[in-house]
Amino acid sequence: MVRPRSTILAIIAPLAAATAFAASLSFAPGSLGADQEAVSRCTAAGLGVIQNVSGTTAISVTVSSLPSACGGAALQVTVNNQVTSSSGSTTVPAGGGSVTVTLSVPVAITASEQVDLVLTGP
Amino acid sequence: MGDHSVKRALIIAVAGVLTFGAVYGFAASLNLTTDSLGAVDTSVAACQAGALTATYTSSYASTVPGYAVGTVTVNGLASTCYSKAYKITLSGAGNASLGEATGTTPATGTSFAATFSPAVNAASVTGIGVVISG
Repeated sequence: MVRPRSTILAIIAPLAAATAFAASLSFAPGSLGADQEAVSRCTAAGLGVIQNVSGTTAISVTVSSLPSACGGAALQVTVNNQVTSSSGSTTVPAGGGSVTVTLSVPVAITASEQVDLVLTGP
Repeated sequence: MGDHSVKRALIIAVAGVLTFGAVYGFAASLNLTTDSLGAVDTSVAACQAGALTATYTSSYASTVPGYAVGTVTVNGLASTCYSKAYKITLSGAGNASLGEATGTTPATGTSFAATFSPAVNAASVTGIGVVISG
């Protein structure tokens, strides 16, 4: 005589095995990292910018009113007279204050000039 | 093993075969087709937990006119992030993208430089985004 329990197990076992194989899925996720940050300014206050001239050319630029928060930053300055431009750079002193940047090439003074500067870091 | 045991084993085996036969028979009778479906739940992690720092290289661009960021150097790269795809975005007001640089992180060292072409007006940059994947 066959026991009912044995028969039931014989029926369920193959079904269970088939279900497990169907559900299995191999997946290897890659890494993903992202971040978004604000790029801050060391100062939002106005800075003093004065061209220092020699004869009819600008030879350097003095930038003043630099706060201590800008100490250690790299300061780049460019004078553009609409015909040519010349740049110079220096490092802002730790306490800020005033700094003079010498232009690599003197720039002839014209009626319309533009002075650009950028502070990078600290 | 006696005749009784052999008979019992045969009946059990036949019951299993009949069950499969019935299942497959019903499935075929419905003529059902289906896309495959598999699922797995796993975590997506960053390739490193250590902080990355970005520094900027600006140069004067008469086309701006003014200073433009041409290169962003990322420092603090861990070996676990080697040889992976990266994208760096410089953004401005309203988080609008000003420029993107893409590439692959190096296989050695702790830093890499991302070049922006065209360079991005430095005065407009208010944010930076970095994503490393792979």
